[in-house]
Amino acid sequence: MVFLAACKKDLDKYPLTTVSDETFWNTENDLIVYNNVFYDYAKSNAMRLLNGNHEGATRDGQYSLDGMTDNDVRSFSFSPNHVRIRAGQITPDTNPISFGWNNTCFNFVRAINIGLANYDRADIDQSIIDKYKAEARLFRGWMVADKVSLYGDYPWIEKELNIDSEELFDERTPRDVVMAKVLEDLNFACEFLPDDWGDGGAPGRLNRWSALLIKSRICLFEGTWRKYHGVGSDANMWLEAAAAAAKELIDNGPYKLYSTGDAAHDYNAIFQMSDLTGVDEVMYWRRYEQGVIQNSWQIYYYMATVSKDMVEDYLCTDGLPITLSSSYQGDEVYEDIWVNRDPRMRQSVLHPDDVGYYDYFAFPANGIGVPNLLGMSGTATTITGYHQVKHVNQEQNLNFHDGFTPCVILRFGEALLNYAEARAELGVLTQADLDLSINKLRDRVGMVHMDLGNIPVDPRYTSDGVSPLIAEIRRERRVELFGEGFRYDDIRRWKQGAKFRHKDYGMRWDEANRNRFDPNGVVSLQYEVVPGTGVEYIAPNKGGDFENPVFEEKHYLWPIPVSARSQNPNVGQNPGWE
Amino acid sequence: MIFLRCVKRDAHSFLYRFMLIMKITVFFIMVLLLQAVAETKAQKITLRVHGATLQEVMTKIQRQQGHSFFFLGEQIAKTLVDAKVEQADLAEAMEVVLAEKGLDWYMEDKTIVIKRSGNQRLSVQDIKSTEVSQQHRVSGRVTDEQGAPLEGVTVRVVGGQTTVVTDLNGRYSIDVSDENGKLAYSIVGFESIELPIDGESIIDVSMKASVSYMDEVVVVGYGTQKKVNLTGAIGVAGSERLENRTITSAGQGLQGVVPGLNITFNSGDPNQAADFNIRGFESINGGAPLILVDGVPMDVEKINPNDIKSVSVLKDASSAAIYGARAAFGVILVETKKGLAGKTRINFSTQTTLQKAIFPGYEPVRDGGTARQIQNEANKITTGRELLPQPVIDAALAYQELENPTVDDAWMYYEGFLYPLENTYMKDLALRDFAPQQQYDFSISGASERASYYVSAGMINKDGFFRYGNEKYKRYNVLSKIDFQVNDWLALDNKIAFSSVLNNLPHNYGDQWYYQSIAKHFYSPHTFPDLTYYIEPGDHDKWAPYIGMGLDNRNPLPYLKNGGRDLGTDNDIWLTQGITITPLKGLKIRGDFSYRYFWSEDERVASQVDVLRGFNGFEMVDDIVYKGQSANDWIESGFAKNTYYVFNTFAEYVRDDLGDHYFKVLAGFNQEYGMNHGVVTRSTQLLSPLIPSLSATTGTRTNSDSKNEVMLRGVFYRLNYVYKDKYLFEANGRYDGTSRFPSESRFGFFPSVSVGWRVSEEPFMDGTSTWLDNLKIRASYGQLGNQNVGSYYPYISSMSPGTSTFLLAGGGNLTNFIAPGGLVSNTLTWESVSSQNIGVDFTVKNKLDVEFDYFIRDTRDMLMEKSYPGTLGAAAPSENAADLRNKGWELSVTWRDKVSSDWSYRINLSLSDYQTEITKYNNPTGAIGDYYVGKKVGEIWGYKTEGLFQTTEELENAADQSRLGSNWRLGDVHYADLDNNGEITTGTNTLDDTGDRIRIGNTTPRYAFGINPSVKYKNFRLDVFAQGILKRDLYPSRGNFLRFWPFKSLSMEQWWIDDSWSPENPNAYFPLKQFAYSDNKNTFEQTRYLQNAAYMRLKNVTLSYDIPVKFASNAQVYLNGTNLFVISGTYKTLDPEYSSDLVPRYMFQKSFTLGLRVTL
Repeated sequence: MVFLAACKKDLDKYPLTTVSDETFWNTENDLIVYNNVFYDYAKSNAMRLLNGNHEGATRDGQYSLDGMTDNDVRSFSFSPNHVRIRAGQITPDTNPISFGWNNTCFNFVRAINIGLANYDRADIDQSIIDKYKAEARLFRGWMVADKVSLYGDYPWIEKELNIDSEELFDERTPRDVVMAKVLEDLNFACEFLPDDWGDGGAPGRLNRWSALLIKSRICLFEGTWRKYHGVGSDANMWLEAAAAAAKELIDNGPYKLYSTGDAAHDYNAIFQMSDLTGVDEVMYWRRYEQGVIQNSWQIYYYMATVSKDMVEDYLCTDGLPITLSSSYQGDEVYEDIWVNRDPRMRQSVLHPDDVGYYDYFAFPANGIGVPNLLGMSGTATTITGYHQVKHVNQEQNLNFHDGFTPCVILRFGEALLNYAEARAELGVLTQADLDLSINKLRDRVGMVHMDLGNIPVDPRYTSDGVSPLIAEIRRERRVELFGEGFRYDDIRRWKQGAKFRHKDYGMRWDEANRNRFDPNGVVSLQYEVVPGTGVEYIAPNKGGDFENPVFEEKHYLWPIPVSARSQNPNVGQNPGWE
Repeated sequence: MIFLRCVKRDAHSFLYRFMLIMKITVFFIMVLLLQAVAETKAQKITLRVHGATLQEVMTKIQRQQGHSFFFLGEQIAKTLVDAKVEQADLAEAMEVVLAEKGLDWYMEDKTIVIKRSGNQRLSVQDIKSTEVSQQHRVSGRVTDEQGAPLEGVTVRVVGGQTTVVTDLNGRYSIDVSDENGKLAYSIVGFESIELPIDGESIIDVSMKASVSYMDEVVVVGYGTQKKVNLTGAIGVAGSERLENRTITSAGQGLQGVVPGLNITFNSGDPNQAADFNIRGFESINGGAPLILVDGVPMDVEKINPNDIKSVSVLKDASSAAIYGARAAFGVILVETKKGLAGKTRINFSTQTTLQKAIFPGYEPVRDGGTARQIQNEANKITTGRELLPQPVIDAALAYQELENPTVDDAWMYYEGFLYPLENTYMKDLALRDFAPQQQYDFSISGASERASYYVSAGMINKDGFFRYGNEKYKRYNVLSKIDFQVNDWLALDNKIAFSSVLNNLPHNYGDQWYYQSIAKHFYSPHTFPDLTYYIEPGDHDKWAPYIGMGLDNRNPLPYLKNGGRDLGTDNDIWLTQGITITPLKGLKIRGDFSYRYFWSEDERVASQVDVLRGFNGFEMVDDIVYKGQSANDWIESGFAKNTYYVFNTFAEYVRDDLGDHYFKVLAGFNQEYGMNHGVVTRSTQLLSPLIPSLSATTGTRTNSDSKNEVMLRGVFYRLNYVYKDKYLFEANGRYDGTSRFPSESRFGFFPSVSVGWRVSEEPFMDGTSTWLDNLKIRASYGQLGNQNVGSYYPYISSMSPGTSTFLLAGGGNLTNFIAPGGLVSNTLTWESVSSQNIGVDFTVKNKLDVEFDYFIRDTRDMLMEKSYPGTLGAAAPSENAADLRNKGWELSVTWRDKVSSDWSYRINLSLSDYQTEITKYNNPTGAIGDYYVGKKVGEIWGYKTEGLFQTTEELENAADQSRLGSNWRLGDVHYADLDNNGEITTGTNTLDDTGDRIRIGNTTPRYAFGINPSVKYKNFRLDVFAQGILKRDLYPSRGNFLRFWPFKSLSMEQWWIDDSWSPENPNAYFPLKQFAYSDNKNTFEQTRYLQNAAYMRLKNVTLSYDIPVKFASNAQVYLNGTNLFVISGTYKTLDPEYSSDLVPRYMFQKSFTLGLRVTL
C-alpha cells in the first residue's frame, strides 16, 4: 500500500495529441489558429452566417433561404423545412429548422468569449491583438443579431459560463439590451478590423469593409423592425447607423459592382463563377474545392422554382410595374413574359432561348424545352414553370455532390440597397442618394433610373401602408437580391406578413398553354383559376398539406422550442406560441 | 510489506518500472523460499479425528508425512481411534493414535508397520515373502475418463482389510488372498466401482467423474474454489456448451446459458461483437463486465470457442471485488484448455454450415401495376403530386395482366425515360439464399510427468450473402500452452495466443445497398434491358452499349461489383510467461507477465463506378453514363497499434490440515498499462481503380492520428475460512488506482464479505440426508468501483486541433484550427457500485440442482451530464451525481437422470429478471425525456391511441392534433385527449405536465430464460437450446423505414398494402397510405404500435452420434440447426431480438451444419 501511494504519480497520464490551455495564447499564430475555429462554427447550418451552399444532402444553404418565402416554390420532399416555414407550419414542440434555436450558437459564443478572455495573454502588440478581438466580436454581434431577428429577446453572454453560473437560468436578455451590446461589438469590429488582412482574400478573413456591410444590414433590420413593429426606441438611430456604415463602405471601400458592359449577363455573372478571387463586387464568399469540400448546389439548383408573384414583380423597362406599363405583353404567351422587362428577370428566370447559354439541362441536344414541368423528361423539372437560373453555374454541371460552386456571402450591391432604404426610411433620401445606389444597380443592367420625381404608384402595393417610394425601394431590393436569402427577413421587418398568406402559383396554365406544352397530358401538376384573374395558373401545392399558407402575428418571431424551455423555464415563450 | 522508493518519473517508462518490480518480486519469493526449505526437513503432523478407522488416520498421516504403512493383522485397520495432535513429529503422533488400543508400531524400510502388542515383529521382507507365497498380487493404473492419472484413489479388497492408495501416476499394487474376489476403487469426485479380479494380475481402471456438482471446482479470481465452498454468486458454463455448435464466437455460445448473463447482438455480422451484460442495467453511462481470458483482458470474441475449457461468471461484488475498479458490473473469467496427462490426444473437427438470412415477414408486392397505382396515390396525399406518370402506371396495370409477356412488353419509353413495367426484387437479385461457412479445428494435447501441452489451430471461413462482390470473413486462431514442472517446487508456464481476422467487403456507400437489397423500390429498374428498340425503331444499336449496366441510386449491383473494397486485418498476439513456486505445502506463489501486441490495417477504397442516370426509369439522354454516388473516389489507409502489458503476482497459502478449520489466504499485486496509437491517411482521386494505393492518387491527402495511454495498478487479497465444512466465510478486497482520474481521487478501496451456511451438514438435518445432498444459504455484500467512464482523460480539458472545411485560402488546404477545451469537473472519480446478494443452493438425490440468487445492485455517483440550458455553451462536464438501484433474481435448475445404461437425460433451465430505478438524478424540472428520480429505466412514454379516424364526424369532434402535424384525414391516427384540454400536446414535457402522454411500456427485458434439454440414448445424443424473454415492450423506431414504417420512404411490401387503412379496409393496422419522409404525425410513440417483444427462439438443436471406430478413442458426427424459429409477439416484419430494431446491415441467420469430430 505504501508503495502504491508513493508512486501515485506513475498514474499521471496526459493527452498526447492535444494542446493545453496553459501553454497556448502566446503568439499571433496562436490567435490566428484559434480564431480560425470561428469560421468553422459560422459555416454551421445552426445559423445564417457563412453556411454557404448545400453540403452533402442538406439543403439549408444560403441560396435556399428564399424557399421560405413567396419568391420561390419548393418541393416538400426536397426542402421540407423551407416548405413548412413557408406554409406557417412550425411548432414549439420541435425546433423549427436547423438554423433556429440551436446549442451550436451558444457553443460559438463560448468559443468567442474564451478567446476574448485570453487574447491579452499573448506577448504581442495591442494593435495586433485588437484585430483578433475585433474579428471575434464581429462574429458574436452578427450571430446574436441573427438570432434576435428570429427570437426577439435572446440571451446575451459575454463570458465563459460554468455549470454553477447563475446566468444559466436567466430570462432572455431584452431585445433593447442585446442589440445595444451587438452594436458595441459591431462598432468595435468596424474600428479595429484591418481594411485588408494581407492574406490574399481567397476568401481570407473578414475585414473591416465586411464588418461595415454586416453592420448596415443588422442596423437596417433593427431600425425598420422597431419602426414597423412599434417596439423599442431609437428606430432612427439604427437607421442612421445603417446608412452611415453603408455610406462609408460605398465612399471609401475598394469594391464596386461587377460590370463588363454586358448588361444582359453581368448581373448574375458572379453567381456563375467557379473562383471569385479578385472579383471586386464580392466582399466575402465561401470557397469549395473539388476533392476537398464540395457542395450539392449544382445538382439541386432546379429545385428552386420561381413563383408567379416574383415574376410579376419585375418592372418593365420603362420603369413601370406591369400593372401600369403599356409595354407589358401579358403572360398569354410564355416567351412574352420576358419582353420589355427589367433585364435582371431574364438573368433570374430561365428564358427558353437561354437553355444553351446556361447549359441548363447540361444536355441541350436532347431537346428538352422550357418550361420543363414535373412529369416531363429529366430530373430538372419545375413545379411552377419558371426555372431559376440566377445561380446556375454552367461550368459545373457535375455529378451529385461533386460541385464546387462558391457561395457569394457578402456583396457590394447589398450596401447600395441598404443605404437607399435606410435613407428613405429616415425620410432624407435624395436623388443623389439614389444615383449613388439604386441607379448604379440599374445602370449595370441597363434599366432606366429610379427618379425621385416620378415614382410609380403600383396599385398592388397601395394597401401596404407605405409610400410609393418605399414600396419601389423594397421592390428593387427583392429584385436585386432575389435568391440570395433576404426575402424572409425583409418581409418580417417590414411587417408585411400578409404577403406570405397568399397561395403560391406558377405559370399560366390555361387551355392554350396546356395544349401547347402538354399535349399528351404528362404534367402531373394541379392548376386552378387564380382569384381576380379568371385565368388558370399552376397551383403547385394544390391538394397537399401546404396549399394554404398561414402567417399570423405570432409568426414574426419563432417559438422557443419546448426542449429549451424545459431546461430553463425562465426563457419564456414568444407571444402567440404559449 | 514492500519498501521501494518511488522511481524517477522520467525513467524509461513502463519497462524500467517493470524490471524493478520483477526484482522486488524475486526477492520476495526468495525469502519465502528459504523459509520453505527449512520447513520441509521437519514435517509435522496435525490430526484431529474422532471415531475414525485406523485406516483413515494412517492415510492422513501418509499424506502429511509420506511414509506408507502396513497392518499386521486383518482387523487392525478397522480399529476406531480418536486423536488430536498439533505439529507433532511422527513418533509423538503414533503414540497418541495407538494409545490404549493394544497396538504397537515400528518403522521398517520407510514403511510404518502396525501390529498387535505382543505379536512378533516381522521385517517387511519377511512380510512380503510370507504373504506372497499365499497371496496374489494385482497392480495397475487408475485414470479418469480422459486418461489422466488419479492420485490418492483408495483400492480395497472387498470383504478384506487390505487397502492401498494410488501414487502420483495413478499406479497401485495390492495383494489379495482370493483370486476370484473383487477390488473396490474409490475417491472423492468419482463414482466408486467394484471389479472382479478373475485371476488377472494387471487391472487398469478408468474412473468416471461423479456428476455431483458438489465436487465441482470453479475458477474464481486468481485461483479456483470448490463449488460447495462458494459463498458468492457465480455462474459456470463448461466447454460442452460451446462444442458442436455453429458459433463463430464465445458470445453466441453463451447466450442464455448462465442466468443473469445477458448477451445481445445487433446484427448477424461475424464482426459484430456481442454485448455482454451481467445482471441488467449497469449505469446510465453504460458499462460492461470485465472479461478475462486466463487472467488477462483479452477480446473473448476473437478467441476460438473450441479452446475454452470453462467460463465463470462472477456476478456479485464478493466474487468480483478482487478485480476492484474494473469489476463493478461483474467479471467473466474464461479459462482455456490445458494438456491432460495420459496419452497424447489429437483432436480434429470440422463443420460445414449453410446459412440463410432471416428477413422477418418479407413479402414482395404482388401486382406491380396495382402497387404503382397505390404508391402514386399515397404520394399524392402528402404532396399533391404523382411519383410516376399515369400512362406508365396504366401500362404497368395492363402488363400485369399479360399472359406471356416478352422483354419488350416489360418496358415503356415515356417522355424521356425508359420505365420498367415489371417489378424488380432487389433482394433476390442481390442476395443469395444460402451462404456457406466452414470451420476447422485441430489440437494436440497431452502431458508427461513434467510437462503438459495444448496446441490448437482453428479457422473459420464465412461468406456473406451478396451475389456479387461478396463479403468474406476469415479468422485464424492459434493457441499454444506449455506447462513445465521444473522440479518439486518450481513450475513454468507459457502461453501464446494469436488471432487474425480478415475482412474483405464491398465498399460501403452509406449502407445504401444493404437496405436497398431488401424491399425498397420494387418499381426501379436495375439493369438496362436488351430491347428490340428503345425510343423508336432502329435505335437499338445506339443504346446497345448500355445493356446490362445498372441504374444509379436505387440499385446496389454496380457498386457491389465495381465500387471498391474495404479490407481489414486485425492481428492480435498475447504472450504470457508465468512462474509458480510451491516452496512448502500449502503455499503457492505465482507471477505472470503478459504482453499484447495488436496490429490492424484497414484499407478502404471507394472507386469510381459507371452507372446510368435515372430515377424511376432510365433517363434516355446522350450522357446517360455517369459516376453516380461514387463520384468522389478515394482511398483511405489506416494503421493501428495497441500494446498492453499485464503484470500479476500473488501468493496463496492454504491450511486444510487443521481439522475443523480450513484457511486460505491470497494476496497479490496487479499492474496494467496500455498504449493505443493509430494513423489514418486518406487521399482522393485514384489514378486507376486497379491500383488501390495512396501513391497512385492525384487529389488531396489528409492525415490524422490518435494516441492515448491508460494505466491501472492495484493490490488485492482474499481470505477464506471454513469451519467444520459448514460455516463458510470469505473476504475479498482491492485497493485500486487508475490514470483516468485526477490524482486526488485516483485510488479507491473496494472491500467485500460473504458468508455461507451448509445447512445440510448440520446434525438436525440428519433426517433429510437420504435425499437432500446439499443445502446451502449464501449472502454477500461488497463495494466496487467503475473506472471505465468517459474518455481516457476525462478530467483534463484540452484544446484540440482540428481542420475545417471552411477554406480560408485556395490550394485545397483545409483550415487548421485549435478548438477551445470543453468543460470538465476536477472532482471526477469512480462510479461506485455496492451489491448485496442472497442465494440458496440445493441438490436433491444427486439429480436435481437448484441455485437461486436475489440481488440488489446500487450504482452510485454515476457520472452524468446534468442538463443545463444551452447557454452553457458546451457539453456539460460529467459529474458524479446520479444513483440507481438495480434489483433482480436468478434461478438455475438442472435435472439429470440415468434411466438405464442406454438412456439418460438432462434438462437445464435458467431464468432471471431485473428492474432498474433511478434513485438520484439532477433533473429539477422533471423533464421526462431525461432520467428523473423514480424513473424505471426503459420507460416508453407515448400517447394512447383511440384508433384510426373512421368517420368524418370522429375526425371533426376529435381533439386538436395540430401540434403533432397538419392535414388530418380519415385513416390517420386518432390520439386520446387524456388531459381533456381539447388539444393533443406533450405539455411541458415534464412530470408536472406530461400533456397527453403516459407511460405505455418498458423496454427492459424481463424474465430472460434459457432452456436446454438433452437426451442420450446409446451413441445418440440430442441437445436442444431455446432462449428468450417473457416480457418486454418495444416501440419501432421512426427510422425503421423498411420493416415497419414504409410510408416514411418509398419502399413497399405487400403486407403494407394489405394492412393499411382504406375505407374498404377500416380494420387495418397501419394508417392511411401516405408517403412522407419527414412527417411523423402518425408515428409518435403510442399504444397502437407498441410491440410485445416477448419471444422464444430455438437457438440450437444438435443431434450427434458417436461412431464406434477402432482407430480413434472418440469419433462423432453431428447435425446442427441454429435459430430455427422464433415465437414472438411483435408485428411479423420485426425481429424481437435485434437490440436495435432498425434493419441491420447484416441479417441474423438461420443455419444448418454438418460436423465431424475425431479424437485419436
